[in-house]
Amino acid sequence: MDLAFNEDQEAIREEFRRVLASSSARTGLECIEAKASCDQTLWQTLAETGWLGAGLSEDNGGSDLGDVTLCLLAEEIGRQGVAVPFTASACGFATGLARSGATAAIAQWLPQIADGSAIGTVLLPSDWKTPAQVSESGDGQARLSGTTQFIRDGAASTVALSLIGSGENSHLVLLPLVDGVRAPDLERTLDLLHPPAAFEFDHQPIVILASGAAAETQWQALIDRYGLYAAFEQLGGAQAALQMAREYSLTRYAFGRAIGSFQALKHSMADMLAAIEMARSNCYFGAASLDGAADQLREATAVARISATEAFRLCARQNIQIHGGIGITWESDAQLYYRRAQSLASSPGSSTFWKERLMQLLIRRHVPTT
Amino acid sequence: MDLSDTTQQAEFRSRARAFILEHAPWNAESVIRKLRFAGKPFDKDADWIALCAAWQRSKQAHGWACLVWPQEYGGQGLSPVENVIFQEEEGIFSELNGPFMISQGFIAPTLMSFASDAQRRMFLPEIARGDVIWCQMFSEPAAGSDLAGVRTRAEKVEGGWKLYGQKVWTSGAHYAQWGMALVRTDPGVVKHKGLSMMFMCMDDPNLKVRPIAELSGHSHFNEVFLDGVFVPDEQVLGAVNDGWRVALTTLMNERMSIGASTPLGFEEIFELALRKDDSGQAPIESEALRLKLADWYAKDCGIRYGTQRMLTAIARGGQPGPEGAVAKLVGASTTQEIAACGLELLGNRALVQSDEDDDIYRFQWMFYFGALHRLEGGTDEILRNTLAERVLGLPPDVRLDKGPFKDVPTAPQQR
Repeated sequence: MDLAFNEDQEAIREEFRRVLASSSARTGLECIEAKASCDQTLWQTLAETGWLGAGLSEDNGGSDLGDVTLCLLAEEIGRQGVAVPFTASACGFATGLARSGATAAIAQWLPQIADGSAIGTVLLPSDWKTPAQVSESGDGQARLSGTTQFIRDGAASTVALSLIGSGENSHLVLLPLVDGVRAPDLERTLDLLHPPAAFEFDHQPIVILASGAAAETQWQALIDRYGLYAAFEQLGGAQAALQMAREYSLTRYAFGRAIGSFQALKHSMADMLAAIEMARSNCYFGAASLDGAADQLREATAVARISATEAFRLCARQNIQIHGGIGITWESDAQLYYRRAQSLASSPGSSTFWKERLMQLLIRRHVPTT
Repeated sequence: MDLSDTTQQAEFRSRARAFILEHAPWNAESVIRKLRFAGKPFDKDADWIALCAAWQRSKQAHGWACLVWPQEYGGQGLSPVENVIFQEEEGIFSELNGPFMISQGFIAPTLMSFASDAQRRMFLPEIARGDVIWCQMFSEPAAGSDLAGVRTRAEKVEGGWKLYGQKVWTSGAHYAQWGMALVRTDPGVVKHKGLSMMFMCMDDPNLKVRPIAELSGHSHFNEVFLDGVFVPDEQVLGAVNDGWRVALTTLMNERMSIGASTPLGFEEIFELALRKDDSGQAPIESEALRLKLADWYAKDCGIRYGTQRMLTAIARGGQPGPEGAVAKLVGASTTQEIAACGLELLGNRALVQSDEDDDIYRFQWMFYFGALHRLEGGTDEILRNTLAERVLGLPPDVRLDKGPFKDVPTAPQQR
């Protein structure tokens, strides 16, 4: 039994942290003012240094660091608060497609994910505004029609995975996000660093990766892995918000004392720490379950998402509270955590989605004691 | 990141399982399960202690007692990892460790660090067997969270000390044979400096134990009155006036006390939520309840996996982080919430205590226990201070007790 990252993984974290903190990364406000859908300079750096293919095999242009290491990279993405759709593309999409066994699609798309020319995401059922329809045209080409809600990181994404239909009629599909894009004004988006977009598909050509029971099984495992990576991003964000609050509370003086010496603030930060530690334990257990049975990962991801959502929300809110007025200004990074805590709580999958998923599993597994 | 047992751990686990299967008091299983939050589950303490002691002796006889202690004192010389594996397998029967927890988890490590060789050989094996129980006399009416403020005074006499004062919240003082007390040996110096740790026989005629009636109607804690109790010099642990360091050893002995975590009550509320009423409906059909259950289950997991993170840190040669304090802080108020929800689900029938109805019994005790658990062994507030100061490095509170102890204010000052 060993529930922690090992030394090699921690060394990778340090290296990744250095890249993220390098001069190529823009501050949150710079990204917003540049009106870009993501930090293209940093994205390019991450591609050139091999991080976008961290979870992919060398055949697909990746560096094969493994799923557990991806967790730690997602945590750092959350901690640094950078404007790149790393978790959706390099974690959720990349590992989902890599495990589909669809060789042609893998050969076509994964090298593009690794070199940054394609950006992937995953559309959960709740991301669809109306149920999408899959059809086949005369030439044998599978096509999809449907309309999505606003998708987190949609403005930057160029390709998505989704499950369409249910039961025997379900299909795991890969759909290019090129046509019918509707992106709102960046300044009007909730999470300024992960701007969304909505899509309308009208007989858009797609690739069917799997159908029927195989599609369902693959899909469930796919969103369990993606959900876990998102939980790690939340864990990183929560730690950054607490760190920001702590540092401010030690430098800001009132009534002749650092405000961090007042018990009201100390207790608030202790509660933030407690929430983070609970989330960390659950996230680590999830990472250790990545190779486990399907039900074990499903339970672990749901639990990690529930506690990481709670931790990030609490820390983001209390960070503003501890900053006082300065925390609610446009210039303060506190707003970025506050916004991102909320957008990550909704996507991938709302907290209600993960809680219901957990409860269905526990109820199904329950054996009444006599 | 690896959840599996090593070959050795798996072998240990299967031996533990076989022992428990064969020797645990299975005929008492349902009563223990019903009463796990009650603290005092039998009509008479003696019956409960007898059951606990029998299990402890059986473990000792077969080499399963005090796993993390050195072998020379009646332990098995194993690591906290094996201790947790054993408690996981022990399951509901680990509730039977209750009466020995203070002796084995807190007193014994203190004796190992500060008692003489002869004392260690005399006291530790009988504590390991469960034959002798010790209590810990730390808190006083005016010194709980502010433990270093104890006022029980020790007066130097020929060959030893005489103690005068009052202790409170002493678990098990009414059945303990020995007690360890933190007392003031010098009120003229600052408060942390004038303390000493001593131990004494609880049947001293100058020592009176009075049970405290708790809100549950039962008594688990006691007041202890010391009126000239004589303690020989050789029963001072550590140096005279160095008692605070000894007390910290007792309180900080995490390695010895890491075990399977205190149950939150999730199992109980989940079972209740699934139970169908006469019309075939179960509370779990309510989405609002399911969402709460999911939150509690996530906390239950976070606490259990936190224990595994502590063990990982120890196995790697490091020190555990704040997981223990976090578990207690989060766990206690979660239990309080679960109890309230359980009683609400039971409805008006839970307005009256019932020994016959297992559900009512369980959730009422959990309700009482929740309030107590947020205070014992470090209140929520003290734990938050500890996390803020020790982990986050935030400044200590402004203090007004830094001068000689006798000058520290104890009541509103006349102006």
